[in-house]
Amino acid sequence: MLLEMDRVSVRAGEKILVSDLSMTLDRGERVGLIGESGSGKSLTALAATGLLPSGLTASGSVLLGGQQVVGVPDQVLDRVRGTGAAIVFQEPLSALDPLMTVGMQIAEPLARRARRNGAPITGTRLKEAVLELIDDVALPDERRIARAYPHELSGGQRQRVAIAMALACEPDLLIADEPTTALDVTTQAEILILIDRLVQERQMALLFISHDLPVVANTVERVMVLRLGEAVETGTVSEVFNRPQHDYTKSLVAAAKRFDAAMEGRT
Amino acid sequence: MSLVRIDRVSFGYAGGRPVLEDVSLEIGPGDTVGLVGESGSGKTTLLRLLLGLARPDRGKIFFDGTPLDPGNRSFMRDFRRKAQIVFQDPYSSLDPRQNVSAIIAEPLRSLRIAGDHAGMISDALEAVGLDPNVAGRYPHQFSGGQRQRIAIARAIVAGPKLLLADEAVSALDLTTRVRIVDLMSKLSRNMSLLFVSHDIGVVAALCRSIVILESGRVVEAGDTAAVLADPQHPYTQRLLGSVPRLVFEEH
Amino acid sequence: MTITQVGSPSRGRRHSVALRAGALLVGMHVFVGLLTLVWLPYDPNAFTGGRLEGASLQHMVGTDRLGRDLFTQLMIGSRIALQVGTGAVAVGAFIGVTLGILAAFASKWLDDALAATLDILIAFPTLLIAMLVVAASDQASLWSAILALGIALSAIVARLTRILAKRVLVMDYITAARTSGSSWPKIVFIHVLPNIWPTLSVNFALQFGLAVIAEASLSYLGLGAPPPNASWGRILQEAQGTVYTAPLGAIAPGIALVSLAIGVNLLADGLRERVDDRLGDR
Ligand SMILES: Nc1ncnc2c1ncn2[C@@H]1O[C@H](COP(=O)(O)OP(=O)(O)OP(=O)(O)O)[C@@H](O)[C@H]1O
Ligand SMILES: Nc1ncnc2c1ncn2[C@@H]1O[C@H](COP(=O)(O)OP(=O)(O)OP(=O)(O)O)[C@@H](O)[C@H]1O
Ligand SMILES: [Mg+2]
Ligand SMILES: [Mg+2]
Repeated sequence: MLLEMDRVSVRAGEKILVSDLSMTLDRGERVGLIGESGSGKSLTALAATGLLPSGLTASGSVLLGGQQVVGVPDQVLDRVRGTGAAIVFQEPLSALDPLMTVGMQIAEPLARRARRNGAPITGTRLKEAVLELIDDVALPDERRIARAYPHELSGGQRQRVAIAMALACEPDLLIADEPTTALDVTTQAEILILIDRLVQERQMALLFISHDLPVVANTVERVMVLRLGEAVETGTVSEVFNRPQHDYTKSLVAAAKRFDAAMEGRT
Repeated sequence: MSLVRIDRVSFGYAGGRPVLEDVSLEIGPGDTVGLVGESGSGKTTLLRLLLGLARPDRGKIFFDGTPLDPGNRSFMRDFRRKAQIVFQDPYSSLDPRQNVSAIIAEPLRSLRIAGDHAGMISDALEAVGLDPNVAGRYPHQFSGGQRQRIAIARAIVAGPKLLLADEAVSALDLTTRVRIVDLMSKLSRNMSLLFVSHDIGVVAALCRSIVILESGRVVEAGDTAAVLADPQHPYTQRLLGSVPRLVFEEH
Repeated sequence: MTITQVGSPSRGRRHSVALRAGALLVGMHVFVGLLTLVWLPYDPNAFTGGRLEGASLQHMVGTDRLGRDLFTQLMIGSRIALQVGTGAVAVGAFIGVTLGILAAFASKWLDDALAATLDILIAFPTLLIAMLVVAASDQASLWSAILALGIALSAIVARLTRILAKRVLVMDYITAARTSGSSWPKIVFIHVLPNIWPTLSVNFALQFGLAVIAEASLSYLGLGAPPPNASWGRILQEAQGTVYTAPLGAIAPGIALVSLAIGVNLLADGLRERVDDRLGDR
């Protein structure tokens, strides 16, 4: 098992933000996490990797690649090296250094990964690899993008740069927190195809967080529905979306249909 | 008379190729216009021009019949009162060192709007579906969607005549999105809305007219229902074709 | 296992031993410095015993070659070090932050020119610049030392401020403030300074340490506060000739200087951890 979360709770002081959540994720598996704004999706992702901000505490057990994460200090997690998990966070801008070109920022994890694989790359080869990766995430004009600073890119372009940085790590587990919110449907489709390809080629595991039900339906096999920090329903995509059991899931599916209907001009 | 008139505007960032070419657009009082286009097609750039944060290379922008001129102080003061924006990135649009109440109060203070600020702030928070008791908390204590709603509350608190919403609901789940869309359509009774989104479903539900932008050019514009029912331009057709639907076959 | 986070900096949560140890050391010097204002064991300029006496119950670290109590002088040295450190950091902060903010706002070429100038200035040792400034003023005094060190430090502060401010200025909340009609000065005071302050304050603590050491060096070279101000640097210099017969006279001011410098650095370290931790830093 790549990721095993067992009755994980997240608290801010007395307040319980995520309660008793359990899930497992193995190589090549894709799981979606859905739920309304503030239901605890991002905190679950942070808890899974031991990256909760100070002020929040996790309890329960999280085994990530066999390593216990809960209650283990950062230094230990940093020291235990090997294959890893990469996270694409919800806010693309916070991932990026505003004073460093995008190309340099992608080059860093790329070079690190290559070193760890025992085949370090530098100079022109590194530059080429960066451009290739930029092209992979459906960014146009890769030379200009590589030279640009984050604020010189559009919102969707920044988001794709963040995805490129995560993919540069060649992670075993990719946690993607709303990775396509800033993308139009055509670009989103390209990114989803890329992720799909990587899951299959590299047997990567995917934890995909999104509020966009159609996107989730097309990307993952299993979903977990979160509400107020609790998992109210889990199952395969078709079970959950075609025959939602919980009232909350029903309302989510109904809302998704309302927009589908508006598109058909049947408002 | 239209509230905003964009007349054949072209723009390119310094040292780059043109981002917008020959864009024309009109927004009347109370209009809801959806601006749809691929990532990088120039939507945010157009909003920046509209706010006077950058000047068009060619063409003119009129607000209430007056040309938009960032150098004209008295005009800008009036203009800042009337036009507000919700930014695309809910993280960088909130100052991490200010609490929610100070964030939302900023336009009220800077624009010297009289009245009971505390009351207006809690009304705005309530309108976007947040508990007014959160006013003392800081941005990092909120989820992405909650932050986006704080940004929306800041934009509507001063009662603007024109609201520019840049992907303002993209970080929201559908139920919350419905709520915000309903709020916006309620507000748009006495406010014009330029709603940038890549989510055609939301635009269809909210906007009376739609403008489709492809690499800086308007390729199609008109009544939303008409455009969606019978898209003329191949780009629009492609855009509509690739919207993921919930209707799917069981595997 | 590697966890690569694209989006949030790492947040350590160590119990800050550094902060406490630093506060203890600095606190001790502050206490002694304040104490000198109301009480001293001896008159610092009076001959209170034999020359170059060793440590005894009367003279905890002995006497100097004129028979003055060394401990009294060291206590006064604490006060002077703190005065110079605080003064120099205040001067450096004022000039540096102002310059840095102006550079961050300046047009591209002016900003580039300022940045290059600062880089060149920083390449010179702080002490050298301070010496030049002192040399330019007609008389060495406590104030000329403070001013000289402040000016010397300001380049480092300016460079840091410029970079930090630039990071903040590209954020959307700055644009949001502009579209809400906030003026630039208001934006600087409401948004820019509060956001760069935590990092700056850590740097100020480090600068303080630098200033204290630089002041000791100036005094050692005879460019610091003139007698009767008992600066550690001057005590050290005066003890130099008798370092073999009375080593305590040289060791004691050295320990005092190092303990304050280390204390300030530990404090800065501790502060940095706090800053990184706060706000969940996202
Ligand atoms: N540092 C914190 N301190 C206190 N409460 C917090 C903190 N971070 C998050 N919360 C609260 O925890 C809840 C869950 O937050 P989380 O970010 O996981 O939501 P989410 O499901 O990702 O929502 P969204 O879709 O809007 O991003 C929210 O109600 C939020 O206000
Ligand atoms: N400050 C800048 N300097 C140079 N180029 C820029 C700058 N800002 C944006 N661009 C470029 O201009 C083009 C249009 O960007 P814009 O932000 O308007 O796109 P957008 O339509 O809002 O896209 P998205 O949906 O991804 O946010 C992009 O190719 C972008 O890289
Ligand atoms: Mg989230
Ligand atoms: Mg944009």
